[in-house]
Amino acid sequence: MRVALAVPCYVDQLRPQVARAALTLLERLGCEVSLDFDAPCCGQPMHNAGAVSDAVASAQLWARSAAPFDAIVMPSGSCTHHVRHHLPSLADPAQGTHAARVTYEFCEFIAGPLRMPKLPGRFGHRVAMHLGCHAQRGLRLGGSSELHQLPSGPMHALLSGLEGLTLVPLDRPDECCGFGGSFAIGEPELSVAMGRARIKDYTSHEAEVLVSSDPSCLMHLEGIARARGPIRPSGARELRAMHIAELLEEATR
Amino acid sequence: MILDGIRRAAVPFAPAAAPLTSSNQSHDLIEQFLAVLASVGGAGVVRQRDQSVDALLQSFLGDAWTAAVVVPGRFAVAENGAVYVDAADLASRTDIVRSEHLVLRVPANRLVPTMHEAVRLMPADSACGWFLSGPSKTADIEQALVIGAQGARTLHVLLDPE
Amino acid sequence: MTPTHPEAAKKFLADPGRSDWHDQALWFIRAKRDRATDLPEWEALRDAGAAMKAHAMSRLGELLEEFERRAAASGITVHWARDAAEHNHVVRDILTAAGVKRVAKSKSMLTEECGLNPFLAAAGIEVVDTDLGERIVQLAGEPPSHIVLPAIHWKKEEVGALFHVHMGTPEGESSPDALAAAGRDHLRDALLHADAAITGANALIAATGGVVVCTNEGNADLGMHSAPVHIVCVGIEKILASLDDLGVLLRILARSATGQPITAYTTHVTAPRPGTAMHVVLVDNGRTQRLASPEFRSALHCIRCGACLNTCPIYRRSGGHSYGYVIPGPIGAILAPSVDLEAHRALPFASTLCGSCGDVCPVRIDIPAQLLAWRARVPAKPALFARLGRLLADRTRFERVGRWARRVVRLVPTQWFGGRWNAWTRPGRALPVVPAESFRDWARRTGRRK
Repeated sequence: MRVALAVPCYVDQLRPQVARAALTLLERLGCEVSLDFDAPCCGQPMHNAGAVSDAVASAQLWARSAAPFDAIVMPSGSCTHHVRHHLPSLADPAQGTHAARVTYEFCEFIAGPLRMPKLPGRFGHRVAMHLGCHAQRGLRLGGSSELHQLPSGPMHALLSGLEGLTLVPLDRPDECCGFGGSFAIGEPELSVAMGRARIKDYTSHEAEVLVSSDPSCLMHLEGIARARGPIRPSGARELRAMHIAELLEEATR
Repeated sequence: MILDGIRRAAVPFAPAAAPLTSSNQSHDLIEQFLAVLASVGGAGVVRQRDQSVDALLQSFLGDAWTAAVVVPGRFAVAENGAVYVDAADLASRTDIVRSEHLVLRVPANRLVPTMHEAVRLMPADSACGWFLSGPSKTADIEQALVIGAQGARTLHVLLDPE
Repeated sequence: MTPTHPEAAKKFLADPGRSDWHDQALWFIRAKRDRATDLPEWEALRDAGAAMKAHAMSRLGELLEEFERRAAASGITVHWARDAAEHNHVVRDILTAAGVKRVAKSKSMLTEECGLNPFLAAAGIEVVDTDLGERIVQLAGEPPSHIVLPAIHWKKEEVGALFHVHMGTPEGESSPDALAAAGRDHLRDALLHADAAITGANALIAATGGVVVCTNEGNADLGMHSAPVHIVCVGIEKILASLDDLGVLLRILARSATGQPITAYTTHVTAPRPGTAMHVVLVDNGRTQRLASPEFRSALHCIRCGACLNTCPIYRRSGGHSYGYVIPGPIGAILAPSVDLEAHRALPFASTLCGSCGDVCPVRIDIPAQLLAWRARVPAKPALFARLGRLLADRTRFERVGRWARRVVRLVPTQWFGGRWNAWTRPGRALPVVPAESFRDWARRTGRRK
């Protein structure tokens, strides 16, 4: 199986540690990973803003780059969702369909093709899980409260399998964090208000770590937490925001 | 013309929904009906043959029992505590809203599990009928539930023996 | 100038205590909906709801004609109104012909859509909105902010102050029981002695020629069964083929709207009381235009339950008045652009596309897909995204620009990025820590890639 890591544009530039952790973990699990996947961007930022024709060139490049691989792992729920749902119509149909078929979200890949729904490891912290809306309701990688489902899915299983890890209960387990792509800039007050509400949910349940499968949600929530400063009355360190790849990598060292 | 606009829209045919049969698992429809009725602010009782209606009304309403409007219902629905009343059985359509205390009498053997069965019992050619579930209410002021908005403040259901 | 959605949201959020209170109130209703819809057959009911609506839309003309035939045969006069203006004229003409001076109206979003109340007021006809929430906003001179709970944005102390002025309740009285009791007395007179009753309809049934009205208060019944004239104002999309479909509707509507198994009153009326007049005004007002669009047609399936409003974090935190359209929330954001694309261009973007609305919709309208489709019709900042599109498709330029931008951001003092112009940081959000090295740079430096 030829596996490539596809690094989302903003992860490459702004949060490379997520991609490094993803690579380290996959190799630790015995997976040979190619870094030759060349396309910078799947086209989501343009497409979601309604600029469909401006997304085509990126999407086509992305689909072409996907052609040689049997599996493409993306450490981003929203990018994976875009590839799976929109590439077949944005790019060349054959290449786009292939890309959609072989692209996996990070936890989905570990639990699925790598057949490792649980990993041996330790992470002795109180953790708030934020799956991310595109992974959750877009890719159905977790149970949704609207459908009367409890939190579940590959990310939930991987976290639950770690020794010492407490998944904190949340008042609103799957409410949107407020990033939303262009929404973060187009409706900034709402975006931050929604993020603040999530942070409050996490800290009121004494979470020490926030983990997400989506680096864009993380940048947004981390930015809000940092702007707030230490949240707990004791002034204890602020919420630590980690991508699931970083958490799993740290837990399995 | 509106109908021309509809024709021009050329909507492709979509088949009707397959009729749903109830999956109501409740073994005792009367028990379920009474529990749901209570949860929506109403109250009901199975009348025993030797109990007079007047005595039951007095036990529900005290001195106010003489002001109660008693109305016949054709059948009742277990899943939502509703009773079907048809205007053909009433002196006036306002009978179901004008009194503060409404009492509905339904044969105890005319309970159905859900609305799927209930709609099939609605009389053909009914000029007017109602599904009534519990007393009138509103939550329009800060979501606080207030019983007794424009219609009845109390709603009692008597399930009559055959 | 009507404020845009972002401007209105900013204003709403400027009072965080109030916006949190509003959010909690709506979330409470969402939670009630979750409990009430936790049935083993819930997803099957949603399937049935979606199917019955698609079926009705695919036979819309035929079903409306069947409804008209049966209704007319039972003594109901059926009118057809192409748009809001025609609707208003039809209603006014019925009322003036009957010498009506005072109307008791029970809740109808369709009459809000057509602006009926001010039109009738100009014709010297007084309209009293008899739904308690509607009466609150009517007395306050503002539109409803929610399609099921019109005054959800009002605190009880504020209602108390309003009722003190208009109903003479004691100053400072804010208990919901006392205020609702005062409302009951105040509205009873209007309901019992109105010259005419106007209601909406939750459904029309083609197979029976029947009109279905659902309320919890009983105000629609008190009005329509007392008045000599009853007018039903209804959008053509409300038609259902059969009573079986009504059964499905009555299982999904109240559960989704308020978390109740059914409303206290569900009326199915096919004929007027002897000696009285009943009219049904079927209104198009842009619905046939929506019907013609395969992409947006299913928005017509909406049963006006409000579940999408209650679950939407944007609606909960910006309020119904921020949308600038009679129907707010996610469903409003996909209906409004078909009415006036330019005026409502911000609405499809008042969303993170989180998908919650689509998951609670009892008739499975794919609201997120329609929001995205509308965005394609009114793209934001076309020049910016054109440039971004070219940049992101060119790996070499992307890396070069990225490297340059990161260097600049790391060199420039952070305060320079904290101005009012920076929408990322302005409401209280730190910029991401910008790394010296991108992932690709690291991979090349460590020999992992060429």
